[in-house]
Amino acid sequence: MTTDNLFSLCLLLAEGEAASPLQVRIDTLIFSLLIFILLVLLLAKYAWRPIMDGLEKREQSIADDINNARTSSEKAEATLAQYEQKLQSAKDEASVLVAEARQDAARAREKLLAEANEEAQRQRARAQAEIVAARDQAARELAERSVDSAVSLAGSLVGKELSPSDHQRLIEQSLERFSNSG
Amino acid sequence: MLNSVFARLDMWQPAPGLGPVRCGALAVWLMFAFSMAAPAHAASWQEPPQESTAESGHEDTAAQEPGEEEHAEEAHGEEEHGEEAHGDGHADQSNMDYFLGRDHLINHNSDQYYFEFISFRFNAEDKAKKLYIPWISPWTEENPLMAQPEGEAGEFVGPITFQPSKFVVLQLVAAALLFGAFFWLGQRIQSGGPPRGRLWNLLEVMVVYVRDQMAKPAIGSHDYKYFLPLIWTTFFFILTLNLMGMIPMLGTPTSSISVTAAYALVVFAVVLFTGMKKLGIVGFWKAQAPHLDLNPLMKIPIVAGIWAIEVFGLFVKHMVLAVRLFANMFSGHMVLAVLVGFIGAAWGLAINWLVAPGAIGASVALSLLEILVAFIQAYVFAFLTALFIGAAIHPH
Repeated sequence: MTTDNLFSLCLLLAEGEAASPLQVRIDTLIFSLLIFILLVLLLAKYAWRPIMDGLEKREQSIADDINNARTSSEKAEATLAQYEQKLQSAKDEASVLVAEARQDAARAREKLLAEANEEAQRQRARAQAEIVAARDQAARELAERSVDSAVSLAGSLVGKELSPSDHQRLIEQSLERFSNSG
Repeated sequence: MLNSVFARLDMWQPAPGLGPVRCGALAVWLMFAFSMAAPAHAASWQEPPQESTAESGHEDTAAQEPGEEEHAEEAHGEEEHGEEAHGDGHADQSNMDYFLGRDHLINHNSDQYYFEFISFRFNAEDKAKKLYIPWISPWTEENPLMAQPEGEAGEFVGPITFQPSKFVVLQLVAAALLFGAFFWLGQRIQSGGPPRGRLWNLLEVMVVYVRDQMAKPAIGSHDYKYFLPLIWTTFFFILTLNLMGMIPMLGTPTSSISVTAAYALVVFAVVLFTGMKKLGIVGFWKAQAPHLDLNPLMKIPIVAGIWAIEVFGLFVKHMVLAVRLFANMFSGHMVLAVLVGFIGAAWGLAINWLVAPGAIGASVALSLLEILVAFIQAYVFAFLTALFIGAAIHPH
């Protein structure tokens, strides 16, 4: 009996009150058709349209945001590069300046040193010259004095006056000897 | 280790705050208890004397197991025994004939004018309570607008009464649910801002999936927008109707060929209309056969043959669209009905101690499969709709 029933179920051959599952109810079909079409229209107007628009709007705004972010990051990078470049050039400039200043300072020092040296040299030279002059002066005075006194002594001894030209020659001779010895 | 075992045992007692896990566990336990109670109380009304004596030994052991409800049920069984004499058709049928019978199984899965409610008083007399939909049509089954044709044709065309049946009511409910959910979603999406919350994310994931993975590739990125409302509605409506079958006491409107045929007709109409609008009436029908570079003598019969096959195929594939959905949903629920029917069939027999837990376990497993099938069939229907529309717009 059981196998009979299962068999009849599978082949849908049994006589019974149940309709075949393949039976089409035209009224149900028409109701379903109306419900489905109405649902499509209602949803299209009140749900799908806002959803479609909203999704598109959101996608657009996300795409815009990404684009904006990309451009602003590019801009930021460019600015950063620019600033870095500026900084670098400022650094270079500064180092050039420092080097220049150093050079200037060195030059100034050398100049000062040279001047000082020169000054010292000059002063020494002058001092030497003065010394030499003073010595010469002194020598001359000494020679003159000694010649004078010698002449006057000799004159008094010899009784003969020397002429002024001989006098001068004697002085020069003795000066020469003095300076040669000195 | 022991603590977790005690915690599990504790779960079986109904606590003041019943969480979903506890409720589920309670439901499974109740089902188990009722199925266990079956042989005892069934024996009390079963008529054949030789069976009741065979069962009497068993009745005592069964009575001890399930606890207090079982005694209450037994009392019910006793009461019913008295009423049974006034029962109508099935008094002489055995449980097996009834619960695994063609009429019961097909009626359970087909469109009706009533909703079926579970009755735990399992017997052929009173296996379900029926809640009839108020009759609002001027025509009745006995006096229809158009009668069911006589003979074999009557197998395939029913009478026309225009009385909303269970599946019509369920479709209206599903349509209202869908409209509410997607109207809400539309307002949310249009308000801008990122998706928040489970429902919003869930719906949006599916909406975007249908748009990007189904409609766009099948129809093409130029035209898909015009058909998106149809594809979306098709997918979500059929999915909702398929899933309705998983809720006890409702039903699966898509397990009726009348319902799926309506949707396939809409798709067919859209395909014909858009195809003819795009290619012209003559162009559309001409495009059904591919262009062939052949000797004219050979070309005429070959192209004519291909055209005939293609046009036939155009009708067949839309018919199959309806049949595929109906057959999948109907057969899935038929299998579930047979599995649960085993419990009814083995009612009052000792073997039910094995049959009932097995049938419950198997129907739980197949219900999970059925949920998967619900999604797959909704996907297939909507995707094929998109493909047919795409094929009509871009022939070959």
